[in-house]
Amino acid sequence: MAAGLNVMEITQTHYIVLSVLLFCIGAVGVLVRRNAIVIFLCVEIMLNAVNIALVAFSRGLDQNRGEVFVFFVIAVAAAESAIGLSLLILLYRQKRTLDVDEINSLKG
Amino acid sequence: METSSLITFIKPFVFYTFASLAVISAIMVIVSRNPLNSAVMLVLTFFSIAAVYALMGSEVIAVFQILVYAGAIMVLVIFVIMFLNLRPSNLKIQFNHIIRSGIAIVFMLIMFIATMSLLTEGVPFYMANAAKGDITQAVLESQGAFQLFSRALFTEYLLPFELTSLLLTVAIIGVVVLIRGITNTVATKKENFKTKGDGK
Repeated sequence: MAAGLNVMEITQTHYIVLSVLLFCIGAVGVLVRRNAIVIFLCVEIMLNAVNIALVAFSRGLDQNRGEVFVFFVIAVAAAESAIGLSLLILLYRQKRTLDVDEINSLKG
Repeated sequence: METSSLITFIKPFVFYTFASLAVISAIMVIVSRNPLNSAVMLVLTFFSIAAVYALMGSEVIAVFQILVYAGAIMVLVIFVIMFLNLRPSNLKIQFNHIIRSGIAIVFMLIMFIATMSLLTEGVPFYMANAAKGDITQAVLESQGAFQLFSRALFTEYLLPFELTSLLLTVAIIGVVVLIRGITNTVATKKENFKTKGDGK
């Protein structure tokens, strides 16, 4: 099983590699960007990366539990984006900025 | 027979096209200065990921991806960005915070090491010992992905499904409560303005 990967045959490994790449891109984006909206978008990228891994393992194990779980993840992401974006609007009305370095009123 | 061999032939090309499109547009999301450009690039990422789902054989999730993510959520995000009217002045990427940059570099290393190890070892060594389900590719093609998905959702996962509706209701009520504060302050401001105007 430890043989090198056949490039012309798409296996679960390809999907997991794509998932790892997208998750790390999203995590790096959360860490290096200071704009709250772009951080929000990067969190969405990370959620999607996890969804890809769930569906890939679900297909690889001949089940559809992973797909049902992805459905719930999408529903939670929709609720999260509605609440999160309205919080961002309220924050912008209060502080006149979305730079997370300047929003530090909870700093002790 | 002819079509199935054609599909196995073009499948790698389709996968590599959409996977590289997803990765490149995800990188564009974090390097572009304007949040609106980031959002549009994220729509491209979501569409590419939907294509990857369809390639994996789960059309249900591909449809949900396009409807919910690329449709609803991204429309909401783009509306909010247009409402806020951000200046692209202080939006550049900053590597000056040393801890954050350190963690980011660690994540980039993880990305590199994980990709390399997966490309040499592969996932199947893990999957070989796991218990397999009964929804194989043949069952999926004979019964249809939507039917199998719906049957699982409405029998085995009925309680979580109903709880999802509760969650969405709570989200709606939460947004209304949050936004009501804004409309109240706007109404009081207007009221104050009116009384002042009447006083003069």
